[in-house]
Amino acid sequence: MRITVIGFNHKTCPIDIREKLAFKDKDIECALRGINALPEIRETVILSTCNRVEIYFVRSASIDSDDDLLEFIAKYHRVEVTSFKNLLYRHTNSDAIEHLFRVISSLDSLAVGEPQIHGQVKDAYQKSRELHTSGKIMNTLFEKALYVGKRVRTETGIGRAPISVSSVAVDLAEKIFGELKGKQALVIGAGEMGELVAQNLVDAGISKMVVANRSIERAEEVAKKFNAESKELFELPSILSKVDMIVVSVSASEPLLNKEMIVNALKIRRGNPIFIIDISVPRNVEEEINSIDNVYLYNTDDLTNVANKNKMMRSSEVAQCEEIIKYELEKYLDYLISFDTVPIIQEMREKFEEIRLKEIERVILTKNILNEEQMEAVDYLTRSIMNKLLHNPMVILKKDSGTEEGFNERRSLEKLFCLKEEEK
Amino acid sequence: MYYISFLFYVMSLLLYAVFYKKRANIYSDIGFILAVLGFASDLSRFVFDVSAAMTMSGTFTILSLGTTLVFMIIELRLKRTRILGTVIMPFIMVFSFMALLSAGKDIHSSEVTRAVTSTGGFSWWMLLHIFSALIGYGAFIASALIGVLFIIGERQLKSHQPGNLFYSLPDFGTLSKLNFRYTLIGWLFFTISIVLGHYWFRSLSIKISIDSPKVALTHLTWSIYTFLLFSQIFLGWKGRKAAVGSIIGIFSILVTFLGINLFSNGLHSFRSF
Repeated sequence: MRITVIGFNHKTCPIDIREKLAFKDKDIECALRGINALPEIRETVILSTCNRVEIYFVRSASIDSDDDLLEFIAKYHRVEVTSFKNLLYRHTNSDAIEHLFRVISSLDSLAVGEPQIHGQVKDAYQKSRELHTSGKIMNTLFEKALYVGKRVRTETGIGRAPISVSSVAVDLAEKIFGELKGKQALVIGAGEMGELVAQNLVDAGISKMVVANRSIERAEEVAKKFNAESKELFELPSILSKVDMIVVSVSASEPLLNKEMIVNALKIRRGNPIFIIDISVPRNVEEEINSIDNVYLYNTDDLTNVANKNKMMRSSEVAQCEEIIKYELEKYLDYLISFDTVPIIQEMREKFEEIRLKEIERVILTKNILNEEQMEAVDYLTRSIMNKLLHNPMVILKKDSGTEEGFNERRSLEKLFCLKEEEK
Repeated sequence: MYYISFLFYVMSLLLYAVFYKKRANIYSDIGFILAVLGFASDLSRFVFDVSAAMTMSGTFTILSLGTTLVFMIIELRLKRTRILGTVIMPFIMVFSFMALLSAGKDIHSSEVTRAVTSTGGFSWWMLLHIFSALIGYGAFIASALIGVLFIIGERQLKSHQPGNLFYSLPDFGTLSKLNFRYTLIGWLFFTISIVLGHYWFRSLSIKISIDSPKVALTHLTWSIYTFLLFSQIFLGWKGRKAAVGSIIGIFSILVTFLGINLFSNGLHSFRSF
């Protein structure tokens, strides 16, 4: 059996072709069944995301070419094979397994360390399980991959720190307040940027929001979209003490928030923290505000710097992730060796043992010509001959496990010794 | 027994250090189990001989016991504070090491020790006094260490340079809550310990004098923590102020607990008269 992955991703294939070749959720069942019906393909999993389309399958090692699969993809998507053949990568056996481990660990992602890929691989695998297009080999492989992905995520800092500016802001807010549910936010400025921020806050789980703007009409318009309250800018001092997070995205000649306003608000809040994000240029929040206890002020540059630093932090974690992947890959390959060689070795042993015992019984026991001591010597001798005869084939089988040669050797042994077929 | 406990704590510390470097939960899990074994080994000393608490090494053992106990509670209730192990284990190991160093060098000649020995060596007052002190000190140490974590995290946040440690910490809300909760637990048990100590001394017919440095400093420590709690509840001391307060409190504890026990004469002293 051979494990193979054929696919293309953001590195090898432009988006216009990826779009054409992506498998939609509703069509995946048909594709899985179609691929599984190709000659000697036993198991299939399709991973189709925005950045990659990959088909993992188990096929008899006796079949060299996977051209029929490419033709299936071409027919399925109604394109020419030549339009994507050169953009594909194909990995087999240990390379395919390593590739999957790297994918699920998000080392192969556009944004290294992004968390979604783990769930996407899990969904792809579950779909195949539900449709019974994955079997013993794919099930163990994907279970192992999910474990590796989880290990990489929990044991390294690859996904710890966010790398986009908006996620940095939300992450910092969660670090300060815990969960954002039950917290109140104030968005100052109802422009395009303010609206975007309001959307992000709602997505992050903020419970209550106030939109303040110079023009109350515009504030009302934005507030309505997010089920928020609307206020005019002159009302700011009375609102500040009630909110946990303030996002300023308005242009003004004078800073809108000064130290005195925040100190007063903090007194009323009995020291509960305030997180202020100033995304306006020029800045509209006095810088000294950051020196107040329990007040945290970030401007656009600060957030960008944190995001950049986090990107570097993630890159420095890659080596550690690779180490985990290497270790788990070796373990899994050992397991695979036992997976396809142990059954045939066991069968051969049983067969030889059966012959040995039968012959002892036929020649010696029935004629009763040996005493107990001599019997023991014969038993030892025949066992020893049997072990010596089996030793070399076993070593070679283990060595060639997972390769085409190994597959042919197993086939030959089955034929020569009339063993039952082991690959089911 | 000292060696065994110390060994457990050292191994636990090493594993937490590896955890900090590699971020593999397995290391912190084994480190935690080793800390529990160290705790069990320490505790077994007092199970066999309660009066061992009156010795200098017993004093350090109480400190390591209390700290480990509170650490275990936090770890079991809030798995996300695994990082706390890397901060708290060095302290536990130092206490255990001091217990090991002072083992067998105790001078049982203080007023209390003599009185305990003359009354048969055991008293329920003493047991409860020691037990509540143990919990109290452990909770104070934990609250101070949580305070340290808060200050480190807050410093990184304020300077706009959040690093690896920042992302390993629980959120500030949780840290503040834990800091307050353990200060409160510490204060409650410390108060109970003082009251029980008072009754215990009375049962031994020892007069308690405010002139005694131990008594004076104990009351000072109690006042510091009472003020800290009052400020947090009524004056809105949150975050950094509360964290700094719990660190100041622990210095007061160290002076009261170690300074007096080791360097002065009188109640609780291990020095000969």
